[in-house]
Amino acid sequence: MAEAIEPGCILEMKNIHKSFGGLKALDDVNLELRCGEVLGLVGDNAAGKSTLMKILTGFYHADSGKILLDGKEVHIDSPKVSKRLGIEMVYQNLELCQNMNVAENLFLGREILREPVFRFLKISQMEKKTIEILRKLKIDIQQPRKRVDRLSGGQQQAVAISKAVSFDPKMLILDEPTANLALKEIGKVLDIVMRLKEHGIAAIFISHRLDDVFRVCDRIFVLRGGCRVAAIKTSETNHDEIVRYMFLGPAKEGAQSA
Amino acid sequence: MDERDDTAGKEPKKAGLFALVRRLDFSGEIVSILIALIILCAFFSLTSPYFLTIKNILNFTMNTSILGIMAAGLFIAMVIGEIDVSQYAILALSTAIMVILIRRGMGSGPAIGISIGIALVCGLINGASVAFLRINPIIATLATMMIYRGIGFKLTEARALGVSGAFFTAIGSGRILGIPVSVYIMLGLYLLIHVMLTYTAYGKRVYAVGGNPEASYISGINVKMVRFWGLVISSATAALAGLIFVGQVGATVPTAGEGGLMDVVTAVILGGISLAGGKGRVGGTLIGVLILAVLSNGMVLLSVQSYYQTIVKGIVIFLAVLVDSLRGGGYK
Repeated sequence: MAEAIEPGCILEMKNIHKSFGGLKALDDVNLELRCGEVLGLVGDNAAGKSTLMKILTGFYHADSGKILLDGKEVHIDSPKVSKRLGIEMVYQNLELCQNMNVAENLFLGREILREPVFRFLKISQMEKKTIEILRKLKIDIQQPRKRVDRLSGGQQQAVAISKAVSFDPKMLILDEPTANLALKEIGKVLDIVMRLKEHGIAAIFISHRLDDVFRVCDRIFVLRGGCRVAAIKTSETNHDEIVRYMFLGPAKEGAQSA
Repeated sequence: MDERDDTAGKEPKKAGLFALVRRLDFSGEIVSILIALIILCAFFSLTSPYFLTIKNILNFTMNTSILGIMAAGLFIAMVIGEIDVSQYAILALSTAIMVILIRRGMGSGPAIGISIGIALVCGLINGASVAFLRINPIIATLATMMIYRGIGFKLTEARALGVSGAFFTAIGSGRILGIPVSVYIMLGLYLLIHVMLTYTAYGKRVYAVGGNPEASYISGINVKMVRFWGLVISSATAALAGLIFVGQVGATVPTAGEGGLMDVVTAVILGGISLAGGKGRVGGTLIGVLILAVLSNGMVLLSVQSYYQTIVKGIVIFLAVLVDSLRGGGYK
């Protein structure tokens, strides 16, 4: 098929295998993430979504297979390496310190220091930068001193995403960012996800909510029983087809590819 | 204006005093324990004519400084989510070694240095047990407490050993502008810890690790080192308290603090900390220390039998922990 010019891939995972004891969690999975796209990663529970992402973030090691970032092979041995390579993950259970304020959370672990010995902080500068970062993603939190546990679930998710974005990542993994949110907040979080494109950040969007996936994702990648069963452009598919792939689809290759 | 659209009117802007209180981040807790302290003081000054005399106040603030100094260190450990019950044993052991060395002819300067060094080694052992060997901090410090206490008893042969010297006189009974030197040391320590917790990276990390260790780890914080230093700091304050103890008593006492195992912990809990970690202000701990001191002093002035005093202290601990638990910070 003669397509319009396809953008290059920022990430390629090739022939990934992973077993836990006798259990095959991932069986020859190939995943590509193109520059600037939002890729929906869907699948039933135990389909291998989180195993695949944990390989990418360095918590697990693949038994075999290659990972290419910007076309170069990388070895992600630990979460630290993953971060250094520009892969950021926003976790489902909101990895924020509820007892601290927005600015403190954004700069946690990489505070701006006044001097290196006693490590006094440049608090006002961190707060100013926090406002800049939030503004970049058009997030409506104006008080960097607001404690995180006083924000709504959607705002907390927005802070978590901005924290990841502030590391200037090449790609972002969003694990169920709309789970446990009120309906009106889901829209706001999805808006932020769509805004990632403006900043050239590719994202993998993991979700059980197909409505959300269809709203923000350019392509949808379906895992089932540890195998890739489909990777389809969102515009060329529909709910029913994706559900079929998730639960009934061909468990082996022959998968449709976009 | 900006604040309005932020939370959609969830927290309307309050003017004047309320805004000031919120800005200082008292968040009600410090205010409520301050009120408790005032009520307690009012009660004792009405029931005992001696309570509000300058002599009595100076007397109990002096006694308070040992407890208060250790509570300041323990506060940091407890914000991280740890606990340390070995502080008094460290105090006894480090001062025992110091006094023995001085009595054998060592100068007090080096002996003091060694005593601080001993306390730091005890802290390193506590810190390593909890942070790297992942032993539950209550059990770990309970065990090391027995070890340190036992060594202290062995070295002193269970006797109190007297010592004197200009330094100990100054730190123990010296006064500046009529106020005991030990009180200045205590207040200085609280100020130092407040500054550290509010304005330095380590301070932020103390709260981060106490609030959410996983998030801290993912953010690149060395959670183990923060925990490790927390217990080292709490034992360092035990060393400092030890110097004042020797100054005030004029001796090292191997049983020092044995009856008050939970006193320091109680003071910190009264100061509005959450046992789950991540919450509390060091200023609150200072008020907690004062509440405990006023309570003990007041009961002595009213000649309450010591059995009842123990019961009252037990009830106070229980209530303080109950409040924490009702707030959702309790045992999980």
